[in-house]
Amino acid sequence: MKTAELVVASDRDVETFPGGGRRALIYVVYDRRGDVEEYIPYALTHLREFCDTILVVVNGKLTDAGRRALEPVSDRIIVRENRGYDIWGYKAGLDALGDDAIQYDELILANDTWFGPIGSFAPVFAEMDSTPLHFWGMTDHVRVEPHPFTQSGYLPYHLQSYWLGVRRAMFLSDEWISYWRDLPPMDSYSDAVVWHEGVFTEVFTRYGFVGEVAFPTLTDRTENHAVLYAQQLIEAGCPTLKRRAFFQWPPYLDHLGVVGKWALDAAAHRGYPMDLIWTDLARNVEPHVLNADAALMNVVPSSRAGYDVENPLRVVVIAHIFYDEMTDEILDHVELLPGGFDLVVTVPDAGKAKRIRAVLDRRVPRGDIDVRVVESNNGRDQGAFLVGCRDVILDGGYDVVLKIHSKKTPQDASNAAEHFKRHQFRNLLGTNEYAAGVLEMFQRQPRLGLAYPPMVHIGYGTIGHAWWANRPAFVEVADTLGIRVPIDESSPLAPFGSMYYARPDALRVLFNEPWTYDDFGDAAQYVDGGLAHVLERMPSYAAGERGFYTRTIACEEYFAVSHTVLEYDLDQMSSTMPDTTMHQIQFLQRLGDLGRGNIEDFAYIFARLRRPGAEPALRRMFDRARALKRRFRGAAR
Amino acid sequence: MTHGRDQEVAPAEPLSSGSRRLIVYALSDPRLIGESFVRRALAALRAHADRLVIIAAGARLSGDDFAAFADDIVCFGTEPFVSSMYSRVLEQEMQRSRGVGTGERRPDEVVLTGDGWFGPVGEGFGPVFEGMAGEAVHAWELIEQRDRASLDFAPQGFPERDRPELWLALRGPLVDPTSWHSADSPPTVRTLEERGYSTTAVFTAAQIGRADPALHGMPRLLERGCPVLPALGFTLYPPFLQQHAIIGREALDVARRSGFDVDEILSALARIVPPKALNTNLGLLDVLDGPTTGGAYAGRLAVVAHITDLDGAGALLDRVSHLPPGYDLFVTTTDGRKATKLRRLLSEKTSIGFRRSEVRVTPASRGRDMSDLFIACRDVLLGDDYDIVVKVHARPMSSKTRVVRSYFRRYQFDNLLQSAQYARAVLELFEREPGLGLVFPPTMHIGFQTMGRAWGHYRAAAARLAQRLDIRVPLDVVSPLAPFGGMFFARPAALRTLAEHEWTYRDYGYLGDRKEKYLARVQERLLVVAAAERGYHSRTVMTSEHAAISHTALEYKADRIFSTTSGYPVDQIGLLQRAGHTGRGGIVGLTRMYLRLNHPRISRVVLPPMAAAETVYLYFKPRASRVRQELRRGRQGEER
Repeated sequence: MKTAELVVASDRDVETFPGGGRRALIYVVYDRRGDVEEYIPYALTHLREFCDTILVVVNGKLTDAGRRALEPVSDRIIVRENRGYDIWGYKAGLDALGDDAIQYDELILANDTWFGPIGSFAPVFAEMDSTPLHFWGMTDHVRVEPHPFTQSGYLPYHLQSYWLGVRRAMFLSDEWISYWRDLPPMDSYSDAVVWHEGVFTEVFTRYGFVGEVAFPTLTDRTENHAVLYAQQLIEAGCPTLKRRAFFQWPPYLDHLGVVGKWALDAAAHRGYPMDLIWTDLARNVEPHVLNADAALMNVVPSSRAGYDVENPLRVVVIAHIFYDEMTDEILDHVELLPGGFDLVVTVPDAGKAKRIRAVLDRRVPRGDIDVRVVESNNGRDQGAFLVGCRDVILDGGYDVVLKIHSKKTPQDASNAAEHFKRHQFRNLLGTNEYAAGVLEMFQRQPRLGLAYPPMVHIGYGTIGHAWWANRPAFVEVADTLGIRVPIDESSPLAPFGSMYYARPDALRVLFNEPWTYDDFGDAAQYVDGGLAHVLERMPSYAAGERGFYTRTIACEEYFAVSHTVLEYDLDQMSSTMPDTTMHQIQFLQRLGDLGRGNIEDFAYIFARLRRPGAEPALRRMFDRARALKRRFRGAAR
Repeated sequence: MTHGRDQEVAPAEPLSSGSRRLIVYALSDPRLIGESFVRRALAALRAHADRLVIIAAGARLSGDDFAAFADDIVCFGTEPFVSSMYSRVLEQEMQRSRGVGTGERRPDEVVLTGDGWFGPVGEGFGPVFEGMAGEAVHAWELIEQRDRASLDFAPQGFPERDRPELWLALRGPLVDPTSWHSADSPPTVRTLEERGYSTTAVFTAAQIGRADPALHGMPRLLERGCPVLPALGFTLYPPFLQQHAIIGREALDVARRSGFDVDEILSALARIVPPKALNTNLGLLDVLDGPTTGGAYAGRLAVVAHITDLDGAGALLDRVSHLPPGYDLFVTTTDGRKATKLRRLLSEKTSIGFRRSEVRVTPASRGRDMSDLFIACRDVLLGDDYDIVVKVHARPMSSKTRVVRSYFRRYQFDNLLQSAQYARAVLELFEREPGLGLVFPPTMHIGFQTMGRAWGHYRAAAARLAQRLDIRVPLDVVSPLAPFGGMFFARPAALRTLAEHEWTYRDYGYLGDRKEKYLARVQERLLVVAAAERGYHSRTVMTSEHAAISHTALEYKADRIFSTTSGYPVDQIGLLQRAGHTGRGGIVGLTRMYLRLNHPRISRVVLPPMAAAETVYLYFKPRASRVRQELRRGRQGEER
């Protein structure tokens, strides 16, 4: 389709893509791990139908596994230093193609920032092939004034650089050759937009080349519709789905009213193999961000389930029972699971084990039962699970494991502690139907790795703070385990309480390390930053590394309480600040820790806003003042 | 002040047979006299009282026959309830018993209680009084109160105030308020113990495992057979209740299982708790995803559809078709041309299930869907022809982006009329709860900035209108509970207060009072409050899909916005709200925040003139710069 900005008065010859014409694809890949995510070979396989030559440029490194994934679907692989973003990747591809370019009628420059084809590429190629043009893009972006990156001048109307098609008359032209020869260096994302993506279209239309866009902007607003209107673009037939819609900061998408889930639904509706998307997102998006962007939560009905009993999952329950007097209570819950399941009980001493066995003997078993006395109570349920049940997870052959433990609330326990326990058990094993409903999710969603209740927040100050002091140690341990999933800045997405459903395969990374009870240390090590607390937060990140995502699950009762509370609190918290919630968050984060709001805290805030770097000096000053005050008081006494 | 041991404290004795009991029941809100929970309480108490006296405080009573409930009523007019009213009433009673010819002795036991509890259930108070009669004590409580945290959240709309005693029984010398030592409010059990009196409780703090069982131990109390349900834990500032994990929805479930009449409780709470706080405290939100139990719908339904966006009419009617067939459809639109098109559309869409349809032409007013509801469809609301009215609309939202528009429509339509089964489930809520007034989706917070400011500029106007309509339900402070989006299911009886008023289209235009220029917005925000005044509560509903979208978004946003302050949300909110309006982080804004937090008294003196000066400055600044610009332009012109 033509847009006003693409209309040129030109005497250049324009042609359609010739029947039997030849097309080359230059496809740029960037992957932090050097791997190649599965959606890439899928896209290339489907592009093969339209491209005679596929040249893949890898920015950065390429692992052997990555190479093995690319080789069957490409003709040539170039691995280059990761500099200059995808734009310099295109240039490397063009350079590599060199004089061979003359053999082709069209070049496609595309990168790996989209999933596709959603539906099929065929209609787009059919449409564009029959259109006389010099270059075309999949989607475009309207002119923005002032330029959002430079704050001056304007960002021209442009075809987006993730997909550009260029016909022979253009790529053999002097203008094209000099454009790429003189391409400025690009050291930031902003450079890539300012020096290439934003100007390419304007430059070449000025030269008199005729451009077209396959899917013009859907609205009359200045918005990046490839990201924000992903759902509508798919409905309009666009075969590419930008990945960005699923890793942008949730408050940003939220304030614009974008619901990522609906774009995914639209892709699924068009038959895209969704596991490719899930695997990629699980591996490359912060789990809590993904949880919000893709609304990965289920309110599981308490009275209806579609669990397929004909093809039951192999389920094992691993229960760490420290308080053996709770054995019956735990089993009452566990037995809400549908069908058979094996039970592994871990317990730290033989006396308790004996009493637990006696309880188990009174009940009707639903599968094999194994009561294990673990060597040590170090690490409590975590230690017993990671050390004592290694074989069950790695070699047990189970489809799903349910990890639980005896959570005791004595008579004088606070309401909060009671609520936490109820929160866990109700949202894991509320009713027969509820438990079946959760297993049904595992039956239907092969990339679902973990399911557990959302973070407890009633009676606890977890909202905003659930890392506590554990993040630095977490980063280290994650690195040791080889987890490259990005780590949330916000509270982590984690099974606080350490009870969850998981696919054993999703937990495999956690078992990469041959943990011992000594690693956990004794009760004194059970503190923030200690291994137990770090590993409590690890499962979703470990699962992500293997391409499994997490869903939070809640029963209707808990959901009602939690949602009304969160809404009320957010409403109250926002009452003194202008703009949207996104702006309010940014505002508060610029101010930093408000402390108690005294003169010292405001001095730091002011320093952070106006004199970055002055904060340490100020802190020393206030420390000295405090010391003086103490000494003065001491002297006065 | 500390009290020494009273020298003259005589050892306590059990009550002898034939002893007299006086019960004083305080009504802190006389509107509640009509509530069945008060009548139930008074009837149950009277069975055990030789004399029952009501204290009525806070408002003037009108025309109720109190003889039916009590022996006497002491009215304090509009003076709000204070604890000293008990002593004032008891002094009167003492004089009365000293008086000649009354034939009444001084009571042997006085029970001070009031409207702070629901019940009783089970065997009533018989076992309580019988059990306590044998106890040799000077004073006893129904529920022991060892401790009570401060409940003062005045800026948030929940000020600390005197509340009627939950249940304090005094015997012997303590019957006479002159023996109380503290000037005029009833003694606490702890001070009595310090002075050497013996006390006990039917439900002790130790049994319940909470220092303040009435507030912190509702479910446990009921599980142990407590015949009453204290109301306090449903009525306080929600973040305070959350901090202590006092979860009203769960307590209410236990109450239901214990035999309490939950409809009665909801009706009372609707009238005394700000609606959004109540929605939170009771978790009045339902995900309607399960199978419905009801069969074919037998109620009478009316749909009021305001349609000015003809393009959206088809999609709207498709959703309306999910209602059980046989409803009456009233379409309002702004001109005859649209009306003709809509009639044509309706004649094509006879399969969507309406029994009859009617298109009404209304003036294009600022009142939009609200004036169409309250003026053009007044007959529908007041006619007693319908059990439920479903209000929907299709109107252009040209100021919003396409993605926000589509989110809005999907949110409203899905959460009210996703499918026939879903619509049936909404109707079933009304069948289950006779006191349910309105049902609508929770306030949107994605794509719309409602959080923190859903009153808009309309709270003061809403308060004025509420007063005019004699609505005394407290208004929420930050945001109201309202069907933002203008679509809801309602029982016409719940809308009656607003519907009965004879509005005119002129009311919706600019009135002399600038702040009320958008009556429609005010009415939208008063729907729930007006229903609550009549004892109807509201519920919010969602599909499971929107539930997931909304909860994950809320959780993420809350996590981020609470990340720079510490403590519980109640502390974090308190700190920010005390700091007041933040501005945008300039030095002036920060100074203001600092002053309000640390020197509130100075800030009250300094900040208002500062704000006034700023207003003046901001008023003149653009003008001044315009003048400067023009001068400059003028000079440039000369130079050329």
